[in-house]
Amino acid sequence: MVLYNAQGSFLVGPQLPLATKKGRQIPNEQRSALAPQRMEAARNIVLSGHSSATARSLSSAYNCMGMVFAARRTWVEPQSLRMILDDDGYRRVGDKSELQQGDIVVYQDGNGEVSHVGIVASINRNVTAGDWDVTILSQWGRDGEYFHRADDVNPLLGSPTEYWTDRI
Amino acid sequence: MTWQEALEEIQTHEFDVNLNVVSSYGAFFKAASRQPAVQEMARQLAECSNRREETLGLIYDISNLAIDPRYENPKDTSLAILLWLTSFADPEYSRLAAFYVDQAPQCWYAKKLARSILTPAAVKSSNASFRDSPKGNSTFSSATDSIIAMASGNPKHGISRWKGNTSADSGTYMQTVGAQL
Repeated sequence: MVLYNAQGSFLVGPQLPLATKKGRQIPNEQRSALAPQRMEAARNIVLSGHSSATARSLSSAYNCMGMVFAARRTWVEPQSLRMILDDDGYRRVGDKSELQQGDIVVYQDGNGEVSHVGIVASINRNVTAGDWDVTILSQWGRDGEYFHRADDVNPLLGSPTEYWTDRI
Repeated sequence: MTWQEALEEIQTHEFDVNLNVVSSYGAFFKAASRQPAVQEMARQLAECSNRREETLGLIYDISNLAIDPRYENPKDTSLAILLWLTSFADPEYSRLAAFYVDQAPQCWYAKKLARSILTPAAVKSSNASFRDSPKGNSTFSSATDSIIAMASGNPKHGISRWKGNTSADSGTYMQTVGAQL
């Protein structure tokens, strides 16, 4: 039997039972780990190209969505993001001054498609720039988990465009 | 950039790391289509039938490489790229190439693409991999008859002239093709 997920991509790995608060299934797949040498190479490449980045973990078992919404257990494609935000009661944060640690940042590519997601790790007022310095914790695809300035990511991950929170 | 340089580049850690920073199947192939090495390979594959044969042989060889069973196939990215390029450059080879890739152990993107080629009816229009060909050609066809002809030794497609640059020789290759089909 051929299995494929809601995005039309064939399932290769096993799925975990994972659902939104409203009970809708979140498509996911567990992937084999990458070899330690490959992950070391990833860390070196990422850190050499992104001055604000520091490595937190070098697991390749999950992606950015899996880190934020699946407790680092599995791979969830970004197409599921809107469903999760809706079903789990997230609301959009309109101003950076309202951000708190644990809120969610959403990145989009040039076509407006969700390309990356992370968690706000810290936020500090930048008096000189008249803005806020937001540090994000996010998993970069299969290349490891990093703390980084919100806008200091691989261009393939897009730009930070939205912040969301589930705070009540 | 020469063919060999492009081929070597898509097998480097740096290329693998850069493409695998994305988190979705569609984004992976979209990113791939923007890589100069991939664009150069697409150009040469479109222009030269020998390149297509070489690529098919390479896919066969890489698919049969032994891997450490504890980890994902380190050739997943390069296999996915080679299969993807083949699917656009030569639909007649693509199903055979997909068959090989589907047998490769512990692949991810490559296996997803292989299965989409082997079961094209299940591929949805939202799948970016077919929109974002470096050639802009989204045509897939099965051409099973041609594959069977190749497997039975019909030199129509010149497969018997294939010369791989890795361990498998063309005799072994042809025998395996026949056995698998």
